[in-house]
Amino acid sequence: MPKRETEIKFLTEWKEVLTGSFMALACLGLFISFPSKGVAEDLSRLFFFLLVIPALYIKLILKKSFGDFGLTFRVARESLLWLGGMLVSSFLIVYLLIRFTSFKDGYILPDYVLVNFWWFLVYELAFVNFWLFIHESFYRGFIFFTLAEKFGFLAIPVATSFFVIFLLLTKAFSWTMAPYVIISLTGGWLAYKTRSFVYSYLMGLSFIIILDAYLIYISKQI
Amino acid sequence: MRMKKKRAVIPLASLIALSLALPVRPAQALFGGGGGMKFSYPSPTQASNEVMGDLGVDKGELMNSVDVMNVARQKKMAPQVVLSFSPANPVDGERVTVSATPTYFMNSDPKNLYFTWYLQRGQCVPDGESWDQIDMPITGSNAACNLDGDDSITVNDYKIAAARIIANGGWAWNRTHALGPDDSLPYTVGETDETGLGDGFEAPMGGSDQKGKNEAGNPDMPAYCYVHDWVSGNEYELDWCEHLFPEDGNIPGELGDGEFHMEEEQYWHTDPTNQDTAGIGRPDEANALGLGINEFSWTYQTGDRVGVAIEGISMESTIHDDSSYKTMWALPKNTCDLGEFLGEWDYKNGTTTLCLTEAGEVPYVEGEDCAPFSEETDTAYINNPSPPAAPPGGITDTDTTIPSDGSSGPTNWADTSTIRVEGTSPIAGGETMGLSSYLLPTFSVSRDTGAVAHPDNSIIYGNTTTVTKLVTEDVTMIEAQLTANVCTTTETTTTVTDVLGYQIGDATTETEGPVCEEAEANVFDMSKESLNACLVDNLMTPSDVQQDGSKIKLSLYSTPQSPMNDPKNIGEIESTADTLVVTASAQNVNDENFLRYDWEVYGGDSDSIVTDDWGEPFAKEMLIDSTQTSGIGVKSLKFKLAFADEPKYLKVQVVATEYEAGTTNRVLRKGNESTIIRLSSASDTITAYNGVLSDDGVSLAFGNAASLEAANVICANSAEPELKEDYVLCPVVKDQIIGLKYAGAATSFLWTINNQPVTYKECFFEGCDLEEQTASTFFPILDEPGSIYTVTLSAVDSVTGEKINLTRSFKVVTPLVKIVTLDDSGGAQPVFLGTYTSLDGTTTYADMSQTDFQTVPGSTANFTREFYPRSLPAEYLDPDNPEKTKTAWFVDGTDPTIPETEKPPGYTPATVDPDKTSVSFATTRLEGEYHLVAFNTLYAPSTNIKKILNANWDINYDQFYEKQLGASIDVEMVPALTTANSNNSPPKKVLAAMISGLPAYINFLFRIVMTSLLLLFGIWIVLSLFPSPITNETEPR
Repeated sequence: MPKRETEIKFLTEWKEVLTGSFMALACLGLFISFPSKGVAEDLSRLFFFLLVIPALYIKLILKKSFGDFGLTFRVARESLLWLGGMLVSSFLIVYLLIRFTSFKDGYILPDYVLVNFWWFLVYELAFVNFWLFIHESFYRGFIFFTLAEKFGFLAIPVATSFFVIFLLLTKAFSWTMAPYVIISLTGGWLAYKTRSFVYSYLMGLSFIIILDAYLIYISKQI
Repeated sequence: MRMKKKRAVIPLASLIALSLALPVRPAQALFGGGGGMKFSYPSPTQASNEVMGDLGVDKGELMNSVDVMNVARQKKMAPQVVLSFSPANPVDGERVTVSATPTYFMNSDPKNLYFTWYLQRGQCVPDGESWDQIDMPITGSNAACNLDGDDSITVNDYKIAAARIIANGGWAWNRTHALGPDDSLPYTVGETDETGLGDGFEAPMGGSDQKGKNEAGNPDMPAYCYVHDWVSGNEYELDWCEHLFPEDGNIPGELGDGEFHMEEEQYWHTDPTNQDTAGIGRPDEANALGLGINEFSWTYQTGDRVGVAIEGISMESTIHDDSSYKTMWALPKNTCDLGEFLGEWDYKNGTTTLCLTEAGEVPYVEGEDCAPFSEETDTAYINNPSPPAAPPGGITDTDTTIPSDGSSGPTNWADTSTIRVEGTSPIAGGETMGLSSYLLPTFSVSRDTGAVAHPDNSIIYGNTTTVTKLVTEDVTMIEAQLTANVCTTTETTTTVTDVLGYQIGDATTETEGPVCEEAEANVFDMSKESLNACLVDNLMTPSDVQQDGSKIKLSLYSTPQSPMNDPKNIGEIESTADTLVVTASAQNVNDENFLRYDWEVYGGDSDSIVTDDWGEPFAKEMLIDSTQTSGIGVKSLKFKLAFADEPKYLKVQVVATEYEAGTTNRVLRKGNESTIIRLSSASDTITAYNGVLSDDGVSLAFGNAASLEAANVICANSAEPELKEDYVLCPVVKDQIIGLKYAGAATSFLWTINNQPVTYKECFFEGCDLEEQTASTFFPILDEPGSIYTVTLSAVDSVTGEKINLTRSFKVVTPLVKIVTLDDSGGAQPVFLGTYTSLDGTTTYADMSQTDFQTVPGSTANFTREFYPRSLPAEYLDPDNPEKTKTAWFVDGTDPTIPETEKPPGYTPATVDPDKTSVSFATTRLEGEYHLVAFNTLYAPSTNIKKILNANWDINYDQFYEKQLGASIDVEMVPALTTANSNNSPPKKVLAAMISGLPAYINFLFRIVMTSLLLLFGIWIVLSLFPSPITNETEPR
């Protein structure tokens, strides 16, 4: 096979991975660097760079279905089992963190959710839900499924690495973000096994809510 | 016989001798001789004068008194009435009350007078008719006004209309259903006279207090009625004496007869079951005839007129031999033409010669030289081609027919007259008189050429005959017999002239008379109908009476009191031009908000006030920042006083117009008012100074040897924006002493600070006068920061009298210091932060940091300090300390002025100038590193200033203000200085300008969408560059 043809074949087979990676990096870069001021602009920035642009890229540029990128939900027993398994795994990891690290002290929740159940629900179902959905759709849906075609399950740590690296770059890495790192791993495996980031999103949301509830519970016991 | 003669001569001679022997004084005294040597022939007049002179009677005054007595009869005051309306300016549908105030009646109480009101509704006067017509024709539209049912509308109908309103008093006379169970329909029950309620009223002549006058069955108490002629002052007795009450036409009875039966009740709309339907305390009949009704109210409609005839007795008695006084009527306008009722002559005692103004008519015109009573001019013409026989020549008056061509002959012959000709044209040269010119079909003749000639067969007309008649009559009044001898003499003078006005022959005069006949004196034949007719002339509308209401009363108020005109610096904050506000206040208008106002402003000087000649008003464009000058509700005018020609006075005039409702553009009334405003001149100024110690060290001055006056001026006017602000509101610091000096023509002054006059018990400053204030003053700043001092100077120019008001304002601030670079370029420069744009968007200024500077490594930085306010006096900085030890610069924490041995290792060498106003150092730091520069000093009044403050304003020594001032900056080492990008041009890109104006979030969304699209477009381009999958096109499918 001539070298030229080899290059063409490589570029042909890897172009989606390459352009997808470039898009992911570009979106994350813009998400970090795009100047914004205030909550509305911050949320808009998150919404555009981590959700809208990847979606437009998939539909307009790649002309593919969102289902190819994990936006699908088929209730299957195996998928539910994996969901439960990963949820338990996530709790095990966080238990270890609570048990052996200062995670419990470093994990910060807003004051208002500690004192009022309804504000707790608002916080979990509005803010956490919104953030987690975008987070899952970008890291699991866009990055993971872009890479998974070529890298298989190895795409899980790669996607997680994207997340962690950007947390580090933005100096946002803290115990508060630890549960999201955990579900980045467990959710990645769940998405790999179920071919859907919706499962990982549901698992992550359940995990965060239960974890927050538990931490609030134990904080009031002290 | 001889003896008899002798005896007669002896006494005569003795008398003569005696006369010559006796002193002459008695005769002179009696006959007015004077001088002892000179005799005058005495006349009775002289004798009379001498006698009255001896009695002390001033003949001139006596004559005046006689003159007054001669006409006193005509000067007496007859009964009068004055009407007033409320409201003065009624509108349609409004309830109007008219009040009558009678005077000069003898009756003890006005309530005893008969007020015969009459109301002419506007609708009663058809189009094309006049309201003062005696008989108003009945047309379809005014048929309702014919209340008495006759064939015309007269004053009686107006009386009935008013009487019904008065007597009815609002009672529902025409209702068709009962009001409640106890009510009956009107006029179905009740007859007051029969039931004994007694609502009739018998009205004696001259008022209700004249019982018995002219009443039936009492012939011994007749009443005598008179009318007053307001022109001549005469009063005439009427040959009848009856009330002027409204007459009820065909129903039985009349008002004032004491009976008021059912038909009358119904006619006058009164309640038959109530003796006082109107509820005013009198019987119905008395109300209907107007007894004591001095007020009348009705619902006004446009065109309504009202009048009243008040019957009562006059202050003057009659000439009849009884106790009677004159029964008279007062009318609102005192208008009644009695001329036609005066009979054949106007009586006047004695005999005089009177000239007739009209044959057989009165009044006569008295005068010695009677004017021609009549002149008659006849026009004749000749058609005889032959010249008339001479003498006298000219024309005759035998031909009196006017030619049939329709032209009238000339009536006023002049030296050169135009004579019309008919027929063929005249033949030039063949005429005996010659023609100066001719123009068909006319030709002109010259008067000095002789007699008129004319061509054959032509007709010349215009020849005149003038006849003048003079008629005189001698009238002799024989008062005792009330008769007069009237002797008439008639003179007729005939003068004949030709066409050119030449008199032909002598005038002839014929005299007839005198023809005398005896006439009855004092005949006055005015009927009741005629007097009633006069009532119509006395109808009034509210606007006739209310002179005040016919014009809008306007008042003008202006502020400020002594406004300043300043044509300079219009629109700038330092402009001293006042904004004048003139406000109009209108009275007696229906709705002030709907008044139209038209304002005009004039400028002038004192001559304009004297002559009231203000020239043309200022155009609207010349009234800077003016509000509207015309329109509805524009009750105030506001404009800036910035007139370039600097008038000394302004005249502001306003015209207010009120329009009548319901009619387009119909002016109801107008009003105008003006006010004159004296302007102050902006050329006069107050200059502010830092008050400094004078060279004597104990008083204040505007300058001294160390600091000249010009250097101490603070807050002067300037073109720079910041300095302009200081000029308008001068920043000053506590304990600072401010000097103020006036420059201008004024000579008398009053300084006030916050409205408190400036006073001082002794002179302690330059230009002081202990007796009165001068053009200079000083005052200390004693209030805390944030306070405002408003200093006002009221001054008068004693020469011109011009008043001047000037004001300067000062704001107490906390003193500050900042460090600024001394380097114009290079060295250290402040960091450019951005730009800011002036409010009008025209100018862009660089915004430079005051704390962050930058310079390149190795350069030399020079700094100085700058104080705020700029006017901070230097002697207040670190005072009483020649070494200035409390003032220091620091470079990187080290004071460069301390000994080298005390400086820390690695300090930055720097140089401070001797008076510690600046510092200079060579930068030693590397790129990205900083130098720190700081400055400290002390603000406090000096000891001498403290002494002055203590001595003159009682400031205790423990109350003085001291403040440590300090500032510090960073100087960053940069590879290159960034300069301010002071792009002063406005944005040129429309889209950019539009986007920049959008709300921030929209702007953000726009940017993020554009970024997203750009990213997607970029990745699409990249993807398109990737190769397509390799396909073997030859491979069969």
